[in-house]
Amino acid sequence: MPSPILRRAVRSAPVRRIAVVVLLVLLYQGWLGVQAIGKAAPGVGAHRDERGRFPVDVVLDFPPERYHVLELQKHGRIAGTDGTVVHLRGVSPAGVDALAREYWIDALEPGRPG
Amino acid sequence: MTVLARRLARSGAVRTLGPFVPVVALWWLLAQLQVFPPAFFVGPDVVLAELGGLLERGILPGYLSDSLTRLWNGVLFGLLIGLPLGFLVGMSPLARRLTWPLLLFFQAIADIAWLPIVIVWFGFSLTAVTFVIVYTIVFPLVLSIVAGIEQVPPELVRAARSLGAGRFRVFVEVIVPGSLPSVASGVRTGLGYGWRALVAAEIIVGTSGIGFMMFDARRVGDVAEVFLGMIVLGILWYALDALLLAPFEHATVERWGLVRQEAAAR
Repeated sequence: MPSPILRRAVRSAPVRRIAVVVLLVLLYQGWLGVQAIGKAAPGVGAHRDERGRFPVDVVLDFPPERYHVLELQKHGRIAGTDGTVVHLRGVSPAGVDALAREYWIDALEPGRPG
Repeated sequence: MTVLARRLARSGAVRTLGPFVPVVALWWLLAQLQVFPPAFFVGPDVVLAELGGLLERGILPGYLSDSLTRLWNGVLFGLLIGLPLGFLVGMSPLARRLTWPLLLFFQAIADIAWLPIVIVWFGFSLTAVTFVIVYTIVFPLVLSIVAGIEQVPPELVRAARSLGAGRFRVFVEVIVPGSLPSVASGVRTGLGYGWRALVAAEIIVGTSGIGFMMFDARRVGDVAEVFLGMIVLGILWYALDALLLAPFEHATVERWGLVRQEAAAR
C-alpha cells in the first residue's frame, strides 16, 4: 500500500514531468552503453607500454574539429590526424571504455606503436 | 467555437507552443523573402539542419552537458552560501547592521564586471565561471530572504513565544515557513540571473559550453549556430523554470503564502 506522500507525488504534475525527464536521461545513458558494445576492434590494447597504456586509432565519420580534439585529449595524447582518423597514444583501458561511450566515434582500432 | 478548438485551447502543449508559431512563421517569412542577407540572417530550416549536424558530431550534447554541470556547481554553492547568510542577516540585527551596506554595494556590481579580475585570479577555468554564478545568485537570494523574514507577522512570533517555543522552534516553525514564498522567489530570480551569468562567463572565460559555442560560431561567421545557441538557451531555461522553479514557487506560495494570508483575513 503506497504511503499518502507517495500517492500525492504520483498525482502531482511537476513530479510526473520530472520523472519523464529522469527516464529520458536514463534511456539516453542506456543507449550510450548499448551503442558502445563492439566499438573497440579486436587487438586494441595489444601493444601495451610499461604503464599498461597503448595506442588507439579513433575513427570518426567526419573530419575532427576543435571540440573533438579536446575531448579525445582527455583520454590520451594526440599523435596526429589522418582524414577522419585521430591517432591517440597512451590510452588506458578505462579510456577505451570512455571513448566507446562517445556516440560520435565510429570505431576504435589498434594504433601504430612507436 | 467548436469542441475541438476548445479542447485544443485547453491543451498544455498548444498553450505552451502556440505563442511561438507566429514568431517562427514570421522568422521563416523574413528569411524566405531575404529581407536581410543570408550571411546575417538564416531561417528556421537552416538552424534545424545545423542542429542535426551538431547532434551528429556530438558537439551540442557535449557543450550542453558542460554548461549544465557549471550551472549545477554554481547553484549548489550559491544556495549553500545564500540561504544561511540570508537567514542570518534577516534575523540578527547586528549582522544586518554590519552587512547591509556591503550587500547593497556588491549587488550593484554586475557579475560581468567581476570577470576581468576573476580571470586574473583563477584563469580561464571552471572556478572562474563558478565564482561568477555564485556571486550572481547569492545577493538577490539574500535580499529576498531578508524581505521574506520582514513580512512574517510579528504577532505570530510573539504567539509562538508565549506558547513556550524556543528560538530554534520559532525559527523552524514560524520564520522559515513564513518567509518561504520570498525564498522561493529569490531562488527563482537568483537562478535566472545565474543562468545569464553562466552564458556571459562562457563567452568570455569559457573553453566549452553553449555560450562558448555561440561565440566561437561568431568567429567563423556561422550565424545558424549562434541562432541555435540562443534557442537552446531559451528552451533550457523555459524547461528548468517550468519543471522545477515555477512549481516550487507556486506550491510554496499556495502552502505558506496565500493560504496563510487568506486564513488571517478571515
